[in-house]
Amino acid sequence: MDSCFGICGKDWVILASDMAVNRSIFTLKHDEDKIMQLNKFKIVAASGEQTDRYQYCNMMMRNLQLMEFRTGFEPDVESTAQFMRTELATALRKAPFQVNLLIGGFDELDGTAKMYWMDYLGTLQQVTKGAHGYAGYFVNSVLDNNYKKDMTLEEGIAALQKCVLELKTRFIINQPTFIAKIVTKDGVQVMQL
Amino acid sequence: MASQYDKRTTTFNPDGRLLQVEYAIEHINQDASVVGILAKDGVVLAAEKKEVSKLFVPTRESGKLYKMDDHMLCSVSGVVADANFLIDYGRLFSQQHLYSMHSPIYVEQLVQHLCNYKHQYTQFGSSRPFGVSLMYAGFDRVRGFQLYCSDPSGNYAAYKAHATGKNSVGSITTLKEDYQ
Repeated sequence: MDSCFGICGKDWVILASDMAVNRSIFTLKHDEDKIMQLNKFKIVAASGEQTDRYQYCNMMMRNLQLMEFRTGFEPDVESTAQFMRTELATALRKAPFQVNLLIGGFDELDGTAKMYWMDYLGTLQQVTKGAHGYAGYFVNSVLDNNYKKDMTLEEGIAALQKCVLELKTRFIINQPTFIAKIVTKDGVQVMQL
Repeated sequence: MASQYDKRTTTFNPDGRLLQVEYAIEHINQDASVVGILAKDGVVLAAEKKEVSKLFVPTRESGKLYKMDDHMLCSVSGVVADANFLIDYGRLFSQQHLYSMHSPIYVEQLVQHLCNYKHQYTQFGSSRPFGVSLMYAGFDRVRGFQLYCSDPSGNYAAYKAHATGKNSVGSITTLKEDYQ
């Protein structure tokens, strides 16, 4: 029941997710950070089975770090997303990871930001806005209405705040807190939505 | 110089040298020459055409210059059979990277991988080292045009200009004087 959504501009990308960990009728935790920072310019918001979420994202982060040590550079966003997809797809017919992901990052070399939507089957698509889980039913239309090409970071944050409001108003599951992470040329910033 | 320390690739001699590796390099220095030069806007590899019998049918690949991937070339000096194996290995690795990450492998990453593989034959087992010196010319987004050379010991270095094969020492001296 994790809510994950995000929006991507020309040189910034924001991913947001809720912070609740629920088990049957209980909320165990209100401050779980479901957006993992992979390296200096990349973040991934994961929704789905909790252990798979942590295990998969951690494995990706460490593999990317190893690549960075070996080659001296962070791979670019597309390579990272494709690599993550390949790992997910390889595991699919052995021991699948039940995680849906939004990958966001900034490419230093050409100064653009990119966002990718990936589901647990290994479907990968570059997008400018997207959502996973039940949140999608509520939030996709809000994102569609508020997105425009070359929008500013502030407009992006405002759009996500409208998404949060929509979820708080209409979604049956109570999600009081949302975390957002922003990637720009200065790296990753964290904010509460 | 034949001694009891050169029978196995995995032993140092009392002077601290790996004789098998040095013998391999000796072999390479008798092969046809290859010169590589790095320029601002590209890299050039030039290989001497070996004299072969007139009964010889040229193969699709020249035996000296090979395409490793769309963005990388390499040249071979030494045992051609060993080289073929290494190039195939390099091509496989390059394509695996492309499959997994949808982007061309960094030149140095491929060179390192091949060198790590070559190095194994100087430390383990009872197989001789690869008797090949490869020169790699390539381009990637991050470092631009690059030229590398690796030898049977598994060492590699990046160069502005280099030569392997016959008279490589002389060629390198000339390159040092004339390179700008």
